[in-house]
Amino acid sequence: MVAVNINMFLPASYFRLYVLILVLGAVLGILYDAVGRGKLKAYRHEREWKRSFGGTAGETHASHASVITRVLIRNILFSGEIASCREANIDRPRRAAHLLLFWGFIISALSMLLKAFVYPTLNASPLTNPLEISTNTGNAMLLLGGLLMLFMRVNVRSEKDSMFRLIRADMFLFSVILAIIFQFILEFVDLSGSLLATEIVLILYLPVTAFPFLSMAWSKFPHIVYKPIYAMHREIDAADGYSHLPNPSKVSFIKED
Amino acid sequence: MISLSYRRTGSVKHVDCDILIVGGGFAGCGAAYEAGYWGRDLRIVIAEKANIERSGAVAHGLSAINCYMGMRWNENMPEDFVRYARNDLMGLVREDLLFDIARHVDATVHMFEEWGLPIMYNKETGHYQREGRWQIMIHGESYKPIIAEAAKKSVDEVYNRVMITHLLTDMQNPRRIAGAVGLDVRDGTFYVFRARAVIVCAGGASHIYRPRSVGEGAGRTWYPPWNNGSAYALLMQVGADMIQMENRIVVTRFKDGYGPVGAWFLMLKSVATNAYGEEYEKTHIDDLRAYVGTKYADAKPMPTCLRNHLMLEEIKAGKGPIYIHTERSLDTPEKEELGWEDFLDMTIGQAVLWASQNIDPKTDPSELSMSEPYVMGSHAVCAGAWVSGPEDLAPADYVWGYNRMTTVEGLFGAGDTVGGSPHKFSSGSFTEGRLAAKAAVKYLKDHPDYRPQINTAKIEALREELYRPLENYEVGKHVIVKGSVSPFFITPKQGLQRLEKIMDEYCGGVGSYYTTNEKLLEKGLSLLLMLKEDLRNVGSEDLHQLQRAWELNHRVWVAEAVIRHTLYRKETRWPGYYYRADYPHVDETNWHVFVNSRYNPSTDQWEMSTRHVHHIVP
Amino acid sequence: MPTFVYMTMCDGCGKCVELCPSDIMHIDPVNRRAYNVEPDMCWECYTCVKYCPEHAIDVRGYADFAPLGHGVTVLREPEKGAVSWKIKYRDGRIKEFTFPIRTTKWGSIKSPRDYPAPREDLIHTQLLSHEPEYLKVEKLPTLPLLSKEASRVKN
Repeated sequence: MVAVNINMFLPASYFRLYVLILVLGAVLGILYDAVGRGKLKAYRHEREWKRSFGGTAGETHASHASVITRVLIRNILFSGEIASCREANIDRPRRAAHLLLFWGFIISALSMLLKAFVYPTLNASPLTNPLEISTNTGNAMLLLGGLLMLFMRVNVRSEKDSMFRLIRADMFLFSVILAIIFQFILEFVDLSGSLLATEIVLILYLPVTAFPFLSMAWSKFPHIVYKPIYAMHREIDAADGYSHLPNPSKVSFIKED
Repeated sequence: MISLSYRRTGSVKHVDCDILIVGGGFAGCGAAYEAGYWGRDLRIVIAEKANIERSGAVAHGLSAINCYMGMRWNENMPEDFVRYARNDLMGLVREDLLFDIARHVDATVHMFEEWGLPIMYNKETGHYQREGRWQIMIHGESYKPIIAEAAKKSVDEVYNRVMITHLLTDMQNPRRIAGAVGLDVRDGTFYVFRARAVIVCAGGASHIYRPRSVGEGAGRTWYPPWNNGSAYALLMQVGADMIQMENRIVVTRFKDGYGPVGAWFLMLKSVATNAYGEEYEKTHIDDLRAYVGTKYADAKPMPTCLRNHLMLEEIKAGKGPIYIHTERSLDTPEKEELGWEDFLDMTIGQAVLWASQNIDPKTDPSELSMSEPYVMGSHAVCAGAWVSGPEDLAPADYVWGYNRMTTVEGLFGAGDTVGGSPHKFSSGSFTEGRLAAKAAVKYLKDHPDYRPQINTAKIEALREELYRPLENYEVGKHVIVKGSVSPFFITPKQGLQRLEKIMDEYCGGVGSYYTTNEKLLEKGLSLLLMLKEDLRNVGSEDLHQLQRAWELNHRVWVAEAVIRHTLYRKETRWPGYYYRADYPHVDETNWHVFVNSRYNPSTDQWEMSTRHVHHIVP
Repeated sequence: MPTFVYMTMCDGCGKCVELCPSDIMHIDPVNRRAYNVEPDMCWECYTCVKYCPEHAIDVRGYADFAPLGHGVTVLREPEKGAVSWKIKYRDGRIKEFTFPIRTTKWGSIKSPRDYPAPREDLIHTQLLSHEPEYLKVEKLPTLPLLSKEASRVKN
């Protein structure tokens, strides 16, 4: 069985163009959402508002660089942000899901970029190719994380919505899961050698994979960029001695026996 | 995007238990603890509409415990408490129930302290820091979670987010309890509880009358907006006797935020004046004596309703705003901190108001105002169920075998549910829960063979009725293009606003200066009955609105009882709470009695009567 | 003063939805974050504000009577048995307070079922659990019963 050479249907240069469109679409989407809609302006107001609550004793005068590094590593790369709900049986799966989704995305996205500009092809073979391994690993992580998130969705967990109730906020999650499923289907038909099947799947694969990137302005995708920025600003403001919260209590009133 | 219907109206869950506690507030938690102690082999469950961690009137916390005798330090004896509460309610109280609470409440408070509630101490005396004669100061932000922890450990299961909508009576004996039905407000499951005894510890009623703020501010009622009178409605619908439903409370508090005044008046010794700085209580005292007689006008302390009356007279004379001069009381940093903690522990909204209007209590006075009326049973007011009293001291016609049992066998009440038993507050309500639970366990031990029989056809009918608002909306919305105006349904909010307007205008709300008469009451009743019919056409968009629909249902029942009782009592017993303009005086000869009502479920008629008020404490 | 949720801070954990006594904190289907669906049923009990792990919920005083520019924020620290408040006036003044909330460890209350079972006869008395010890007086007070004639009244 000889794997299909997808370059027959989608020459490398078109593939590169496709990837460029995804990247550009994503960037324009975020810019439209943040700047075009005024969210950046609103965020500036919010920061100013919170800073008007004055200082706390928690200021450490740590350098902004060291704060950013700490936040980047602990809260973002290790999804430490999620670990504060303080209920282990909810925290751990949510954090695991976010870690899988985050790292799966990084690995898959980088792999796709490399496949487009270095490899350069959408071909799935040979499977031993490091780019294939990284693509499949990233995709598997995304799929696992995505499915786990389906169960952890707060409207299912806390609102007791049916698993099958679809809301607007599901658009991103479902479109990612669908795109990954199509990745695996394309890989499968490619390796199976069927030209017709590969062509059909490819025709579906391209828009389904593009959807999450091009729908940036209308989905929850931009929060991948926003949330880390909020976290960094929050920690920087605290290090500078600002907090809209009161100082923590210096004493404990609980009698140890 | 696709939006699929997510309501699971198909699921039914049956729960069999020995004791069902309805409501996980202070009374319910007290019932839970005591039931767990005496009935440790029984199956005990709590059904709580919200989450027991912070549900009920103590959601914020409290800054004082307002019912503590201090018997250990010879501060007060139960007889003193009975005299105080009797006086405050113009003579009409169940002295047996009051004595019973007062003699046990100290032990409850000592248990709370052991559990971890921080109580303030007076450094000089070594006693609890008194706010006033009956009140002690606490650091009470976590009062409810601490008590909830004890309750959770006492029972077999706490069903959070399950609202009980109807009680069930036994197929063989309609005057005996058999359980309850309700709904899980998260996933729509229909619950059927079969219980050998039921203790109703649900809430009294706010939002029966139009509140003073009507936008967002409607949420800032003095008593929680989520207390919708289930304590009364559930009982009335199964034919329990109720008393004092005309006895509603109007509270004088910090304006708009309804912050508490107890610590300010009693402990910090703040004074209230009119706009011109005059201490107005003295101005109208002679009129008051002529109005109610010297027995009540000169009573010390002056009854709550009469203090209201004096303030109302001043306001009607155009001498408002009425101020409380906090700025004259906060002369030390400790007092300032106490003043702020007083609000932050229990009515944070008042602190928010100060911050928003740039009011610093150290330098600026605050306005006082009188609220709209509320119907409840644990404060300076005692609407509620007619219950059996303690066997060792209650007069014979107040006892029919089990303490705090209503006139429906096996159905007990505690907290706001119970009538004639005011001034309980948190500790007293918890204590009453304990009393009811011990009696319920005793009742079960005396009736070991009772197996409740529930009519399945009735359950099916109730289930349909329970979900009908969802169907009304789901179907009705197709008639109109969009929005909430339909000839076929009303939303729960629309129904609530109609109810509040009716009660405000016809039954003595703020808009009528708390005044009504027979003609107004009859008109109000006829409008209310039309609203009651329209309850069949309430349309709920989702489960949250379905909960609101049933809260409205219970409120309408309570309102009907209030109007009927107010009509029946041809007297103004509590000027300052409400006035019957056609019978403006206190009439000791004819009306030194309880007004009793019983809704008869088989005839759909209300039976009104009176009950004797025994005075057992000299 | 109804509550509101900061979009930048809420990460949709659902705690407020589970705890709100008024059933008004729910998840917005567009963002999957929490918001107050019925501000005119908000008592400003601050439960959601206190328990939100991200401190994403704040209160803006009821529009009926509270001018803008104020804030009252809270930091509840159950492990320390403490609660702290920060009050920001519209004119910018700030006040801070810390108060105790508990003197014992969370989870330390003993279940009533873990106490030794009461003697059989005690259920027929007026004594409640742990009495008379917890009354801290010798005996539970009572009153002499009214005479039979006085206590029977035709109703």
